[in-house]
Amino acid sequence: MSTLVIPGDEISVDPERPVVLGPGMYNDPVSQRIIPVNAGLLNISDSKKGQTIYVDYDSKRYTPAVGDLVVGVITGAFADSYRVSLSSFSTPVSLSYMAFPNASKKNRPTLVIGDLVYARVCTAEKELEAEIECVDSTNGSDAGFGLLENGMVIDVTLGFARSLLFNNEFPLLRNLAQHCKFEIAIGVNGKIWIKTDEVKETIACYRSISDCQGQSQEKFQEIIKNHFAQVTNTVEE
Amino acid sequence: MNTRTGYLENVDGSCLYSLNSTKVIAAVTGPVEPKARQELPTQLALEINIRPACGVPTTREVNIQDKVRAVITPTLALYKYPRQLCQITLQLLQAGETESYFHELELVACVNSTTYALVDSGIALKGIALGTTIVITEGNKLITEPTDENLKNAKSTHVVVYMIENSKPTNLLLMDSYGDFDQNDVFKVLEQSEIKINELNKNFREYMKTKLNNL
Repeated sequence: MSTLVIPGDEISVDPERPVVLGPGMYNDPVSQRIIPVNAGLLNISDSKKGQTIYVDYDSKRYTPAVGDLVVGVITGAFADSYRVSLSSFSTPVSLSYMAFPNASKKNRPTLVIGDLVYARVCTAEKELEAEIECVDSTNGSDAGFGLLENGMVIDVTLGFARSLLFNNEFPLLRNLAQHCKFEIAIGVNGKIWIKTDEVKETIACYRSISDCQGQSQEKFQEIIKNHFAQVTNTVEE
Repeated sequence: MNTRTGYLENVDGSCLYSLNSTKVIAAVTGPVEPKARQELPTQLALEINIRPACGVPTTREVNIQDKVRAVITPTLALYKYPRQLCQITLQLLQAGETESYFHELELVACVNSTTYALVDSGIALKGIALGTTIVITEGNKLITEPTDENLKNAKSTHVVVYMIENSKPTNLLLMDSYGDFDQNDVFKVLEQSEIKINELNKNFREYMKTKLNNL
């Protein structure tokens, strides 16, 4: 069930049973009222364990949350960790040298400032610096995380990045795949890294993804077709 | 009243707002990393800048800034963002009033556009702040959303901003009055403004609804 909520609206919850608050919900420390703090669609799911409430809303600024898959830029290197930027001007997060596969005291990762990494957020407390890791901490494998070489990064809204990553029905990537081969890493921080065999294909993908943002799904096919036609029709001299 | 959110590309939230001949762009960026002197250990710091339609910011703009800050601060869930900063920049495009005498229309435009821009940015809010201007004429008539001409001929001018929670105006955030008026006038103004604010709130909800349906 989903209804529109505006910050400050009254939400009916059963006070007898445990409540889990997701994004967009807030328990005011003073009044102890549970209220939505963002404008969006309210989702309440009821299970035996309790009620889960969150607000589905679109925004541009990313705040780290545990478990999120993100694309970051290395902005600094210290004695035992990197500093990574997940979105411009936001507080940077840290990436420990030990949070890589096969890490040891002697075996240092070789990332340099300016490199892109695909990682998972492992701790995110609002009072502390968030931490990310490039390893699946349950089994120590690399799980597809780590350095992203070459390619290009597209900045999109967080809602768009989430639909690309989690919504299997979302047709954009399937439509793109009809035109070229590509490697893609989607961060829920609104950064999408894409790499193809040729520069012109990368440009076409970049423009297609940027332009499909905010458009209806029926238009995707045409937008992509136009951009690929544009890059292939240019004469190389 | 005309609003358009997401007007600017490179900020987190923005809104182009116009009412009669007052026009303003609000831009919100945050939560971002603050400068060391702005940082507050437990809550969100707020930086508000107002740029006038003409010339450089003066004490007059600082006065509007302070009022906007007083109104916006209680609506923000400040403790959700310790050691973070929220930057609000308001660029007036058209004052819509004689700037040397009045600031009422601009103040209301700044408050309302900031509310839209904040919601657009996704910063946590406990409620929304919406305001209106009311003037009392020489003939003791109340006019909401006055023009510059109305302001000049008024006996008194009033700016009223309410905090809206759960679709109801719950908290009077600002009442800024100039001119000749008595207690009765104040009550009349409050009554009238509440009706207007409810209408503005309805518009706000409608706007958010159509925005979500377009996604």
